[in-house]
Amino acid sequence: MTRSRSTDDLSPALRLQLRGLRQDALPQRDLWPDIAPRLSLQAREAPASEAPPRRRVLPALAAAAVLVLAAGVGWLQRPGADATSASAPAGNAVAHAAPLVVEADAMTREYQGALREVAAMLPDAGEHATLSQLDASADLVRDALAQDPDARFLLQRLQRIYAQRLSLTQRLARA
Amino acid sequence: MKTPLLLTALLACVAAPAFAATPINETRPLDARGHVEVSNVKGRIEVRTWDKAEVAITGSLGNGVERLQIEGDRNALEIKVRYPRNSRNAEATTLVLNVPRQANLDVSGVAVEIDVSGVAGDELDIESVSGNVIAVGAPRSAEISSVSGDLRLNLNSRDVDAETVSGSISLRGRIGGQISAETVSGDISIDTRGEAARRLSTSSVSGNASFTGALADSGRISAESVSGDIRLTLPKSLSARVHAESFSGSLSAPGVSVSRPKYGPGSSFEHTFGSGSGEIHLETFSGDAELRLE
Repeated sequence: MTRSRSTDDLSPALRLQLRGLRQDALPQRDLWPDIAPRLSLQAREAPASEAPPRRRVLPALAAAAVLVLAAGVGWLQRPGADATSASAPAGNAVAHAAPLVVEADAMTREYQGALREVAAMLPDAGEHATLSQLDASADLVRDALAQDPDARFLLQRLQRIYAQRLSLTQRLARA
Repeated sequence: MKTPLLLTALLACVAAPAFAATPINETRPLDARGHVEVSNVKGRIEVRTWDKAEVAITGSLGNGVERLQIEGDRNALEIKVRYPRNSRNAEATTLVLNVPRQANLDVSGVAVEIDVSGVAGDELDIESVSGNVIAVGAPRSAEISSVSGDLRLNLNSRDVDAETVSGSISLRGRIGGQISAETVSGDISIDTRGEAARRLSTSSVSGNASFTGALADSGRISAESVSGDIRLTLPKSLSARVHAESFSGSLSAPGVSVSRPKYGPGSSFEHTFGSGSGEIHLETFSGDAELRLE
């Protein structure tokens, strides 16, 4: 709970920079053969007395899931929801199915939110041409990703552009 | 009688800006391997080196600048041009520094032309927003970045990291360690003058990238671009496994057969040159990638 609250307290800019540090690390070998027998062993060794609480937990979880789903549907049907989705990055049918493109769209939305906050503090003069250049480059990479949705390097490049855009905007706002 | 006085006062007001810049002439002791940090927002920073254990600061402070702040001791010195809170009208300041040849140097500027020559310390860090950067020397490692300024670097260093957004990067010098160059729309041109780099990494969106040099044993080259072209020129004795792929750009290298899927876009090749001790990875979206052996 504390952890969740402290994460929420982070500024969008910092959250995105932390996100940029995230690196997926694949195990060097298939770990499932080791995990599966341990899980089945644990299941066999679990005392029978633990079963009733588990049964009580499941309905609670189901109820919570229904509530979350209802809240989610309500959120999607709220007034202005269409406008929000229209402003989100558009993608073609192939793009919607591609995980990297979905990730790129989500990243774009998050960075745009953070940039809006920082841009409010930006002076009129400055490196606006470069900011526009970065935006145009981000569009170029997203278009490329929509056409080549398996190109992981494009997603990484997009993340770098947004990080540079955010960093430059912050720097100009501080200057 | 009043008229000449008024005229004199008016003339003084008009002439004032011409004499507004305040000359700087300061000297501080610094160890031969001390650290110097210098920053300015608008104008120019010029750094030269000498064999004295001191730092000389000359130049001129622009009108409207709050002050020149010099802090620290003979181990580390910080030189900073302080601007008032509303510094839009402040004039450009020029700083000319002479520092010990082996000092570590950290230079940062916003709209500042930066020119550094002769440094041979452990570290050289330069950061600029819109100004061009010229750096000549032999620091052990260099990290140099600008947003829209061009980087013209002539460095004999172990490792060099250069980064811009729209500015171009021109890097020359015998660099045998790690080279990293990244731009968004600027071009990258690297020539190690025949030195074999242990690791090279270039990345751009629309800028072109070229590398002329050699690859060390078990070294690695990674070059990627979205729409910019990539060209590597390496010796005929190259020993590396090369993997290249592109969505719509063309790929070429001597003696390789580029494969294309029967349906849909994309092309790639894998080829081993020599005993294949090193590794080269080229990837573009629409840019061309070419490997030349000379």
